[in-house]
Amino acid sequence: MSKKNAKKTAAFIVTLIVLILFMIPFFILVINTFKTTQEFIKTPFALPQSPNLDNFAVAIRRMNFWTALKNTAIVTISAVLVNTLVSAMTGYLFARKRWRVNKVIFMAFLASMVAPFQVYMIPLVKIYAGQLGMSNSLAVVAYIAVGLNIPFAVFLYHGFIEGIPEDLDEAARIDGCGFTGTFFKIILPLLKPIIITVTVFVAMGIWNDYLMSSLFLTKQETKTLAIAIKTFLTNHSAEYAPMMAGLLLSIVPILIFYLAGQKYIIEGVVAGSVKG
Amino acid sequence: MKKRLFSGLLIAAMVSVLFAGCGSKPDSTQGGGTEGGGSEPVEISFYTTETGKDDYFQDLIRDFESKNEGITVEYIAAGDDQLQAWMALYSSNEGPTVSLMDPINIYENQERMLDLTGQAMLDNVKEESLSTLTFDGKVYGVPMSAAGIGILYNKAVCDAAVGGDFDPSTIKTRSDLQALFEKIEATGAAGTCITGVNWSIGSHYLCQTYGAAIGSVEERVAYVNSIIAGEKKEIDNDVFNGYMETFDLLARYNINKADPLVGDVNVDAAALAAGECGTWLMGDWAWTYLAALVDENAEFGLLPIPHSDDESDIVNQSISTSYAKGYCIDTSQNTEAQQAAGLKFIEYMSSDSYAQEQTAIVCGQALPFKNFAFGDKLSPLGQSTAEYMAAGLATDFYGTPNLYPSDIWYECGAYMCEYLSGACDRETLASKIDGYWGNQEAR
Amino acid sequence: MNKQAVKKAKKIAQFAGFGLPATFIWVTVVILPFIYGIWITLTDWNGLALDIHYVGFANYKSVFTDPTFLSSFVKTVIYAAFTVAASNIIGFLLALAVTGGIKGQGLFRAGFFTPNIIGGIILGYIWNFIFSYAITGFGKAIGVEWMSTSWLTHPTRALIALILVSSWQMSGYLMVIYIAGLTNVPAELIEAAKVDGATGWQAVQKVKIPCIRNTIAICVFLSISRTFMSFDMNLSLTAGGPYKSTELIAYKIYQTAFTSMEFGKGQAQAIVLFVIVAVISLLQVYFTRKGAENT
Repeated sequence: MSKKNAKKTAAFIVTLIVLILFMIPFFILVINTFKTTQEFIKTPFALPQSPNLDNFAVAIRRMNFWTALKNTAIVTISAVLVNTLVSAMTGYLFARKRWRVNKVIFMAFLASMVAPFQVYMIPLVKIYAGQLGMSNSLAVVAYIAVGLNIPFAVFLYHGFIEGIPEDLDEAARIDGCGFTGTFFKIILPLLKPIIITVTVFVAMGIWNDYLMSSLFLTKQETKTLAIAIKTFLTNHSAEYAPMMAGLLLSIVPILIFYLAGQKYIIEGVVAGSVKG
Repeated sequence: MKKRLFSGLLIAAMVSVLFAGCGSKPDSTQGGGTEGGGSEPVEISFYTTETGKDDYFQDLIRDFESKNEGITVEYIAAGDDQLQAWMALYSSNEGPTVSLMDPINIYENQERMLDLTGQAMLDNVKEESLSTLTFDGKVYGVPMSAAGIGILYNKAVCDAAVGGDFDPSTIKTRSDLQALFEKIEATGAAGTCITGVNWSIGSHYLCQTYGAAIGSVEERVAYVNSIIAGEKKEIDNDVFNGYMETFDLLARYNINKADPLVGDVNVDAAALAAGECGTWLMGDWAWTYLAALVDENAEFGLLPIPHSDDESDIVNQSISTSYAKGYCIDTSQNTEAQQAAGLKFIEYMSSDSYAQEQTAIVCGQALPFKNFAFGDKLSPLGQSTAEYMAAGLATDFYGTPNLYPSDIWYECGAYMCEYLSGACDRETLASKIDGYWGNQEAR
Repeated sequence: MNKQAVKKAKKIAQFAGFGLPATFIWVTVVILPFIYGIWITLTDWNGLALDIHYVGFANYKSVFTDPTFLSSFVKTVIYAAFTVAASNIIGFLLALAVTGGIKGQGLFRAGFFTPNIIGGIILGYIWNFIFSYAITGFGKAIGVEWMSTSWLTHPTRALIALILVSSWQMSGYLMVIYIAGLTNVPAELIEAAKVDGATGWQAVQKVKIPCIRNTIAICVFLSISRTFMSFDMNLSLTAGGPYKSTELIAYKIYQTAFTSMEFGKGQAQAIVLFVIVAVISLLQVYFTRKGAENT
C-alpha cells in the first residue's frame, strides 16, 4: 500500500515539475502585466519593481474592452451552439450509416481540414462582404465560424461515436426508438466528454480567431477581442505591457470555461455514466 | 439533479446572451454616398497603415468632424498585415475613401486612385516631397511626414569621446565616422549598433545604394533598370561597394556583433539611451522607442551615412528623407461626394494647425508643409531631420514611387541579414541582389 | 418495390435531417470560396487590380520551377516530422499523468492547456526573449558556447527552437483529446489486466493504447495538418529568420501573396501544398483505420 502511495507521490511531483516548465511563459506574461513596457524590455524575467494595475485600465479603455468582450461572446456562443448540434448529428449519421455519400462527404471534410485558409479567404470576403454586403455583421462571422469548424467537429464526434457499441442503438430500436430518438435519448448523453472537448477547442479557436474575423469586422463597434488587441501594435514594435494585460483579460473567460468543462468531464467519469 | 440544474442554467445563460446579442446587432446599413451638395451628410472611411496611433487619429477625426459638419469618418486601422487588410476591404466593396499607404502600393493601384494634380491644397505641400507620390506627372498622394534615415547619436557619449562639444557636421567621410567610433570605444562604450532585422538593413540601408549617391532620379532609375536587365552587376558599382564598406565598418563596431541578428529595436534603443553604445543605425521614428527611456536633458541627433572618403561629396553630409506614407483617395468604390469629403480630410490633415500640432507631437517627425509652425514640438530626432532639410542637406529616399519593389525589405533583407551574420561574403550578397532584381519588371 | 421506395425516402429524410445542415453550411463557407480560389490560381490577379487576366497554368509552372518552394517544403517536412512525433508522445504522457487519479487533476489539465490559449505575437515575443536573453544568459554563466548566442539567429537552432515551441504548444492541445479517449477506456478492462498481473506500464501498452487507436489516428491527423499549416508561430517566433532559413511553407505562401503581391502565384502554391498534405493525411487516416479493423 505505501509503495503505491510513494509511486503516486512521485508521479505527482514529476507532473508538477513538467507543469512548471510548461507554465513559465504564462508566468512571464502575468508578472509583466504589472510593469511598464520599458521595465518589461529591460528585465522581462524579474518580478515587478512597483506593481501597478495601470496596464489593465489602459487595456480596458483602449481596446474598448467591454464592447469587444460582448462581440466575442456573441460570435463564440452562437457559433458553438450551432456547431455542436449540427456536427454531433452529422457525426452520428456518418458513424452509423456507411452510405457511399456519407463516406465521400466525410473524406471531403477531412481533406478540407488541410486546405490552407488563405486559398479561400479572399473569395470568402468577396462573396459574403462584397456580393452580399454583409461586412461588419457578427451573424455572418458566426456563420462562417460554424462552417470552418464543422469538419473538425464532425471528425471528432464521428471517431467517438464509432467507439460506442452499436448494440446500444439496437437495444434502443427494440424499445421503439427511431433513428432520431436514439440519437437524442441514448447517444447524446453519452457524448458529454467529447462535446466538452470539442466545445473547448471550437470555442477557443473562435474566441482567439483574428484572421477571419478581421476580414469582416472593421468598425470600432464590431471588433472582437482578438482584433481589438492589435491597437497596441506599432510599426515594427508594440506596447507590450498593456498588450499583455489585455491578452490576460481576454483569455480569462475561456480559461474559466475550460476549467468548468474539465470538472464536468471528471464528474461524468466518476459517476460512471461513460462506458465504452 | 444538481448537474441537470447546472446544465439547464448554462444553456439558459447562453441562449439569453445570444438573443441579447441579436437585439443589439449593429446596423450594417451603409450610409453616405449621397450625391450632390456639400450640405448632405456624407460618410467616408479612413484606413491607416501607420499603426499604434489610434488615439491620435481618432482625436483628429473628432476635430475634423466638428469642423466639417455633415461628414463622418469611420476609422479603420491596419492590424497585422497592411496589404491583406486593404485587399479585404476592397474585396468587400468597402475600399476606404482615404488610405494612408506606402507609395509603392498607391503606385501599383493608381487605376483606383484620384488624381490630385492641381488641387489647391497641394500648394501647401513642399515640392521636393511630392516626387515620391507623383507618377507620370500626376500627383496621387499627399505625404504624411518626412522620416529621416541615418545614424542616431547619443550626444553625451560622443561628447565624452571627442573630449568636448561633439559637432555632427565634422563627420563628413567614412574615415571620420571610423575615427568617431574609435574614440567612443576608447571610453568603454560600443561604437555603434545595428539592429539586425530585415526592414532596417534590407530596406533602409540597402536602398541607400540606389539613392542620391547614384545621381538624379533619372540616373537612379536607369541604374536599377540596368541591374534588372542584367547589363550591370552590383559588385561592379562603386556606390554599392562604398555603402558596403561603411556597412562593414558599422558591423565591426556593432554592439551586437557577437550575435548580430539578435535585433530588437526596444533593446537597442535602451542601449543607446543608456550610453552603452554611442550611435545607432536607424531613423528619427526611433524616438517612439527612446522617448520613455531617456533623461530629460539628454541630447540625441542624426548623422548622415557616408559612403566614401570624399569630403566634398554633399551626399556624405546629407541624410536621406523618406516620404514613406501618403494619403490617397479611392475613386473605384467611393462616390464623388465621398471623394470630395476625402479631399477635405486630406486637406485638414496636411494644413490644419491643430492637426499639424498633434502630428508634430505624436509622430515627432518633420512635416513637409509650408505653413508648418510647430518645429519646436517635434521630437529631438525630428528636429535634427528638419535642420538637415532646412540646410538643404536632405536627399530623397524614394525619388520615384516605384523604385523599390514592395517585398525588397523581406527578400533582400534576408540577404543582408545573411551577410551581416557572416554567412556569406560581399560577392555572394551582390549576386543574390542581382538575382532578386532580375525577377523584377523594369521600373 | 414500394418497400424499397419507403426505405429510400427514409434514407433521404435521415440525411436531410442529420447530414444536410452541416454539409450545406460547409459547402457555402468552404467549398464555394475554395472553387473561386482555384479560379484565381489561373489568373494574374494581384489581389487588388480591377482587371483579372486568365494565364492558364503559368502560376503552377512557376511553383514547380521555384527552388525556394522545394527547400521551404523540405524544411516543413522536417519540422512536421519532429513536431508531430514529440507533441503526440508528450501529449499522450500528459494525458496518462492527469487521468491516473493524482491530486489536482483539473488544475493540471488547465495548466498544460494554457499554452494554447495564449497565442499570437505576445507568445512569440516572450519565447523570443527566453531564447535570446534567458538561455544565452544561462549559457554564458556556465560557459557553454552553443547556449551563449541566441538560438534564433542560427539556422539549425532556430528550426529546433521552432519545433520545441510548437511541440510545447501542441502537446497540451493533443492532451485534451487523449484525455477524452482515455476516460473512455472501460475501467473493468484495466482492472482485469491488473488482476492478471499486468504492471502499470503493461496495462498502458496492452489495454489503453489499443483501446484509443481511433484517438491516436485523430491526434496524428490533427497534428500533421496543423504543422503543415503552421503560420502564427512561424511569424511570431522567427518570422522566417535568420535570413529565411526557417521560412516554412505556409509562411512563404503568405509572403508571396501579401508581401510580394503575387496573389495568383501564392494561391497556386497553396493549392499544391493542399494536395500534398491531403494525400499524406488521408493515407494516414486510411491506414490507421485499416490497422484498427485488422486487430
